[in-house]
Amino acid sequence: MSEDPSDSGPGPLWKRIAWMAAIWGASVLALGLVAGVLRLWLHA
Amino acid sequence: MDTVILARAQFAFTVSFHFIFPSFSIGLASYLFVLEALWLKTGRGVYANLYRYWLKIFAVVFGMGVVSGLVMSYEFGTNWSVFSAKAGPVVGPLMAYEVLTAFFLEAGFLGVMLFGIRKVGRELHFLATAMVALGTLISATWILSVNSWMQTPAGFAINARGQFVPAGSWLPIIFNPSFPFRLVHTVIASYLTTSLAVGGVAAFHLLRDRTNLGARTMFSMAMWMAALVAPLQILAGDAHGLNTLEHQPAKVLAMEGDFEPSPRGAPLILFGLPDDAAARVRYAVEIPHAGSLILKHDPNAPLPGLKAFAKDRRPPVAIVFWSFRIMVGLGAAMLGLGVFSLVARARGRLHEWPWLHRAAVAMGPAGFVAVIAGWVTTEVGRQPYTVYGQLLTAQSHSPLAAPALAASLLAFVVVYFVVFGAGVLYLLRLMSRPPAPHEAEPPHVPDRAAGITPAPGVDPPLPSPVA
Repeated sequence: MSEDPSDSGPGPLWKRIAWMAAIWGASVLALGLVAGVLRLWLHA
Repeated sequence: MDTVILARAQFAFTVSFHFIFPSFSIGLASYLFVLEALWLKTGRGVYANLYRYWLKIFAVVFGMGVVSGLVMSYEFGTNWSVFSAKAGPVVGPLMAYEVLTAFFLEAGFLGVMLFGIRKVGRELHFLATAMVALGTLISATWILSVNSWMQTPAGFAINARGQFVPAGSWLPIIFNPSFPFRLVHTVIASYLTTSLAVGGVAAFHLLRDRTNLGARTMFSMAMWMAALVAPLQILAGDAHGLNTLEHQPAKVLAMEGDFEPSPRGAPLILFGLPDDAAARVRYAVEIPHAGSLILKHDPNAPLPGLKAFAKDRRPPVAIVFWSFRIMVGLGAAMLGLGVFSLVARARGRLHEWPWLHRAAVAMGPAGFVAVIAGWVTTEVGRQPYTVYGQLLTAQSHSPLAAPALAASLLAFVVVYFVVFGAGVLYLLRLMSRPPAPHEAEPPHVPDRAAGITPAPGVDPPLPSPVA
């Protein structure tokens, strides 16, 4: 995190939104994998 | 050992372990939201540093909360299949909303909080922080609605298969009689727990270095929160208690240890040894009429006794009686710490009074103990029912053999202490590091001439510590 909040951040808005969507999707997927592994373990 | 007791012990163990983490993450998410908002508003680097400091801790706490919570959702099927089959049409959708919120708001945007600042910019990053904070509150809303429905079931009918189903609108189910009180009491408890934990960590570092700006800032914020929220929590707890007396009188009578009816005003039993078998509290130390004053706001108001309920319809009094006293005693200590901090602040010694810092360190874990004690009070107080007045706990469990339950309980104890013990040790290690006022900058910060400190990174001068 930058110390300076006036630092406007990288790239145009569409690129930043695309990054946000990609990271968000990957995060949801990661949690889905954890849930899936736990489910397999408990059903074993 | 009895199958029901083992199934209950397993659920109690897993839910108690789980509840520690969301009670921290709900408060921490809101704290991170406030820190980032302050950083964006003021540009002061101390807020950015504190955000980074607590973000790492939040991520670990959130991860352990999710994993321990997932186990419980499966446990409903493995150990409480009859409850799930009967109450599933009502509690299932609400719990699904909680899981969806945890996945799509909390976990999804947590990734952006952790890894996104270099990619999404400050506005979208702040939006992600806000979504996580909102997600924790929405998750709490759904899960507490489910729990409250089990305490004060409403808006349901029983179908031909003996299942609880919505009688029409979902609104009476979601907004059942105890839900607003439980939601407010629990969310405030989370904020109080977080403020005490943050205050304890800050005080720990202030005892070593009173000039650390991060420790000073978060100690001040935490003590404001404790001083303001502890009295609010007492009011919320009182309102919740009155609601419980109306809808679950046996629970409140167990909390108070009132076996006998009190037609001319009930005493407040401060301490004693409840004896379920003899239906009395031995060695009771009591204040006459104070029980009715608290529960009815009238010292002479009559109160029934637990003897009005059949023996097999009473909760186990000793557990409820003592867990309630632990919660209330810690709540009083939290109020005391808040008042102590106000006195120190008024005297200009908030950051320079070692006894205040020692008290804050000692109270750091108090919120966790209090929420567990409160949870035990409300859950054991609901016994002998899973759905209060409708479905007995003894009729809710799966047809499991005691050895299987005992073995899986043992496995849970071993795995939880290893996995979560390691996680908690890692958290303590993170917290033992002081919040650094000049942490290394990430690489995307614009280049500056060597030897010049970026203006926002310069901390304002500190007053000399007073011995």
